[in-house]
Amino acid sequence: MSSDVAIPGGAAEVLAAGARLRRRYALSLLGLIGLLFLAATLGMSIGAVSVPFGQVWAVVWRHISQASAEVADAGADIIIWQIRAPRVALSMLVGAGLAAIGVAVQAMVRNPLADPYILGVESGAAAGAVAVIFFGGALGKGIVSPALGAFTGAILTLILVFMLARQGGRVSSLRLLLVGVSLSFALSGITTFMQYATHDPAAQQAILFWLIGGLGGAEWSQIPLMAGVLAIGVVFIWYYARHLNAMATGDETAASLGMNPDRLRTRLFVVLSLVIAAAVSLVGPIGFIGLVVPHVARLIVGAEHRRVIPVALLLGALYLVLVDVVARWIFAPSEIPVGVLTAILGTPFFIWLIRRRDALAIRDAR
Amino acid sequence: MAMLQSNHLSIELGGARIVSDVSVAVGAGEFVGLVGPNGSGKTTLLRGLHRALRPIGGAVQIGPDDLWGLSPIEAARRIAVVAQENQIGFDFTASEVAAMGRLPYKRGFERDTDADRRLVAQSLLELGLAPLAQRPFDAMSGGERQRTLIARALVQQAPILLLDEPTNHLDIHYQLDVLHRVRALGLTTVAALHDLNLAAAWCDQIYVLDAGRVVASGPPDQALTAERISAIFRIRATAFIHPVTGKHQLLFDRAEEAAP
Repeated sequence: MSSDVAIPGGAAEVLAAGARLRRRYALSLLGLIGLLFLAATLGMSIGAVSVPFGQVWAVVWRHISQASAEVADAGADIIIWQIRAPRVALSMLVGAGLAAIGVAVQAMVRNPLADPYILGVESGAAAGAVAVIFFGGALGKGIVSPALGAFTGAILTLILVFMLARQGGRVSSLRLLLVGVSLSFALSGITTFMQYATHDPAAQQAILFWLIGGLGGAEWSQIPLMAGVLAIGVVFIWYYARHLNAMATGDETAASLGMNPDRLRTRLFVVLSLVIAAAVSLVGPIGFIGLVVPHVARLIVGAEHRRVIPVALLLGALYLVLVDVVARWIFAPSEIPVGVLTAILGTPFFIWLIRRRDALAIRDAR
Repeated sequence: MAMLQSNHLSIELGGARIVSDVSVAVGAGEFVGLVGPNGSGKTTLLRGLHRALRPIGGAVQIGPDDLWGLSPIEAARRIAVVAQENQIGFDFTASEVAAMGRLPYKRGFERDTDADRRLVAQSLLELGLAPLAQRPFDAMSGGERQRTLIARALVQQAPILLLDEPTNHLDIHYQLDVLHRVRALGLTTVAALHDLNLAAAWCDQIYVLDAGRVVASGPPDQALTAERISAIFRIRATAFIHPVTGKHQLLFDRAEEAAP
């Protein structure tokens, strides 16, 4: 019935190409898990006091297995288990979360330039935290922590964006984008005003954290909250990974494939905002990861969300752990906020990646 | 019984009546064309035949069932749609786009089976896309994209196929190629078509729309008469029989009164 059917074994070739892609995906996962292991080791080893890799894992193992073996070096034990290990763990969770949310947000608003923060929640968190610092005297210092202010600000913003973006029972992707972005600017303006109006140097220093983001305050007590929220978010977007493919290609197509894009977008918005709220309340607004890591993941395994999500999770975790190592090491013994470095270090690499991809595409087209 | 039919369907968009009291009936395996001037309601009617637009009056029936009485997933298992899409973004490959047709058959967390993969490969092969399976959709030519979307519709395994201007932006080779391939699938097909001669050559039945109403229907030579087309499109049409294919065809020139 068609001239092209003459190609022998055409379907077999398509299947073979698909199998190659799946092998590449499996290898990427294995490679990233290996790298993440190395990065975590590095993250716990490097610092003001360097600890050999072997000793790092000995300490971690002693705590995980709760063995009562005698502690050879109490100082190293505290540095690794109480300071560096929770920091590495939080880096992994936040990095993974921002990257995975970036993937879902880009699909749900059909815009490759979108990042988790376009939903406005991050600016709400910053405004909430800064307001607590700014009005600290009035509220009674220490009663309300900036982190709690951040979470409250994030949730209030979530509700506000949702109400403003909803019209006629629908949350359209364009309206969500416009409401989120404009509200984000307004909230940033308020934050900047408070920063400008305060004259207390300590408050200014504290405010800075909520404008840049850093991992300096990592503690084990933060890990269960972040891990729990992230797990909920990841299970949710993984469940809808196939739907994200359809939604990324357009609402009408998605609807003709039997799904309700408006309803999924609404649910995604709420679930993803909660993950962002948790992450930003703990580490502040760390940028770049949610925008760029999804693209790097797609460069490695293509656009299919069932492959992009796991790869983005691992890549995001890996990247934030590594950047934090640099942030602690570059001006050691003092450290710089990790949010300052994510873009500075990542941008050259990312531009090199996309230029290389396009060069390969041009070569293939010839 | 008709496979797909609309009974007195009326659709409004932004308060304006775009489709008025339209009844069409499409038999199993038939290829039906919707033709008419710009703004006559072809695309809107087509969107009303699946669940993209909810009508303000009338009903759409798929076999014995009401379209809006079905669940969205059940509707998607019966009707596949190839809308006008030029870019889909994110570098999805032809194979990935085609595989999206499995969505109405899969629950969350459910993995692709070998049968799914074979179906995708077979559909791409059937549309001559096997060598392009890993090519990004957005890097394909118009004809290749159109065929990819038809492959997705095949993967969807729906007995009814709706096509909106499937030959738009294609050169004449691909216009004929796409229509030939669609016909060869043997599905119950409704296509909104701009080109009257393509419609006349490929359709079993044609509905002529004007200002949201059906003004004529029937086999091409009865629906697309020279007088009717002249009046609706405000031109002068001349009917003839194609010397090679034997199909009813039309030639056009400007109407006398419109001439300077």
